[in-house]
Amino acid sequence: MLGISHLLISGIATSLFLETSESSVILTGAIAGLLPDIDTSMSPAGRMFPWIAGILEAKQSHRGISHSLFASVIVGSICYLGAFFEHWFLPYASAITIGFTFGWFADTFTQGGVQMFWPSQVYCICPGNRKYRLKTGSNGEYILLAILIGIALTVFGIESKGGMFNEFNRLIAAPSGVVSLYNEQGNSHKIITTIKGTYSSDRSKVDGKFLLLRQIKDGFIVYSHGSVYKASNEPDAQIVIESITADVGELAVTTIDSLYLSDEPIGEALSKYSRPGVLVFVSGRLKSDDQVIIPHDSHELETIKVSNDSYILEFAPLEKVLNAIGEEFGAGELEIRSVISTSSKTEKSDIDI
Amino acid sequence: MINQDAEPPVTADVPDEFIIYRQDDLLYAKSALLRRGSICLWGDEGCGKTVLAEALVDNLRGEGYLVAFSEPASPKQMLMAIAEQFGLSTQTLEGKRLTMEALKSSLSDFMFHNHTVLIIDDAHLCKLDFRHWLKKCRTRGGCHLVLFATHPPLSDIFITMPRSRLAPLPGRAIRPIMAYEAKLRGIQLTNGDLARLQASAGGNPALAIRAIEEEYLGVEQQAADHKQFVVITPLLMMVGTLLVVLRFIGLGTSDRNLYIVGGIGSSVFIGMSRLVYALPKEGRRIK
Repeated sequence: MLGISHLLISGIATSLFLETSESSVILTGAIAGLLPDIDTSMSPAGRMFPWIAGILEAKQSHRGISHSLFASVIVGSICYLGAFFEHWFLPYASAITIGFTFGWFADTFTQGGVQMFWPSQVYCICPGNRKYRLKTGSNGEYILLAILIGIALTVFGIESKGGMFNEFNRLIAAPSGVVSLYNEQGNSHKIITTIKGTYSSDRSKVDGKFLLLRQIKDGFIVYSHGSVYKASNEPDAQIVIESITADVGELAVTTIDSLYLSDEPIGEALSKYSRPGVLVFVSGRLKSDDQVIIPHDSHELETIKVSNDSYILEFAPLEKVLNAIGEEFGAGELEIRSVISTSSKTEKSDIDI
Repeated sequence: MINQDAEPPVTADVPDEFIIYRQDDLLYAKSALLRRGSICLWGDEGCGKTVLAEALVDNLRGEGYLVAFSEPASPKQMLMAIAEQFGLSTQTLEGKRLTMEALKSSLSDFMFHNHTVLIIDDAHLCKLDFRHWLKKCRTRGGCHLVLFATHPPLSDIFITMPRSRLAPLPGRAIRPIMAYEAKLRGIQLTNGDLARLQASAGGNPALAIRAIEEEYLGVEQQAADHKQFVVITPLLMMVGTLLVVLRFIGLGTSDRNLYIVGGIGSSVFIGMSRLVYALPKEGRRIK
């Protein structure tokens, strides 16, 4: 099999199994795919390590010990031992092991096969009829090469967009995919959802991007342009979901603080959380003697409710709280959820929410 | 970085003389004969049966055994060759050639009264009536047989005889055979060349010699013809069934992604497996 075929097969396998688009890791895996051919001094690996090639050539047949599960175990053990002492090496250790294994495994589809179960001398092949096995440099291999290039471009593209499952979630646009991505990346990134559906209030169409704030039973609390919505298939939701997909947004951390007010000005207590570039949402109950009437847009989640003697806040944007009840006095405990962008980029976020 | 200044490849070590690498099998056959038994040594085509048979004949004759060796031919030719090697007359007093029945009778009487060893190469190619005669001789006693055969049938004499397989030769035996054959043809091969050519031999000395001949003649290396292949298609299909398992895990855990990915993957694998199994089987003719 040609060297470039080995590079592509091992590179694809590394990217798929490690779910990575990191070029250095993929390249490491791809190059490791050339290592099994160290048993011949004519190969690139054999020319790089002539002393190893010399020893193997003198004792073993081509595609013998270096093309076996035994060799994979040895290479894997050495790599992971290295990773045990140097943790940064772990993805590279995995890449080398995967790339190496797929490097020799690809040769089972060639005319000669490989001694997969070395020290057993049998050569493993697939398929049985030699007519349908690959011959190095044959037309069949060039056709395979073209297919591999196509697969490689697709796989690297998918991995750079967050992985196969993420791409698949995007394809089926189901809430389970959003939950999965939120669980994986929600602690370090903004999760941007793309929701198609209808507003439950007037049945007008919804098609836009929303910041995911929290997963709730059968749905999500999402935010866009100063408004908070409950998106689900439940009757009390503001947005009825037809399809929902998620993407990983800019780097961000979510902090949750508790604030206790003992009959003091609400605005004064909350103003310290107001910082540029930070989205702050307030939840909790505040007792207040005099309540003001707060207008409510039926398209949105009622983030500030007025009950008999208190305000009930649910994911209320800080700015809205300050404007609506900032002048009031209140007593109670609040939960302050701050979404802080940690991206070093100074430019505007790629998604305008 | 590729080492451009690497030393030139080391030329392989070449044995000075022809060596029999099946010493264990040779001793095994001899020990069977010493115990007054018979044995069938079988293996693949080209596994070295004839070389071993000839070595056994030389060895036994050197030790004073009364040995006859025959290769497949017509039954009468074989009987005459055996009779001549035992020093029996193949003609009547009138100078006519003995009939087959007379030869059989003369030989079986001789073998019954003398401690003889009969070595037959490629016994699977011998005619059925000759094999039946061998069986009768063996049953009658006196004659000890060593039959060499390629995958003999499980019938007549083969089913009644103890048998031992001539396993493929290990790499350490194949390599000097190749080096020796290369030396005979006056070509100098490196260890790298031998490692490459050895892969097409698969423990079969005849194929190892053929690989050297192909190299000597400069013809394109043919695909390996040895029998040391294992088709791993079922193993790959078994790995494919893991996708079916994933589908059910997805179903059980309500993981829609896993369910769909497993479902699609298993469908692709089932399709692929049907395709692979539908491929025509490899024929036994050179095409």
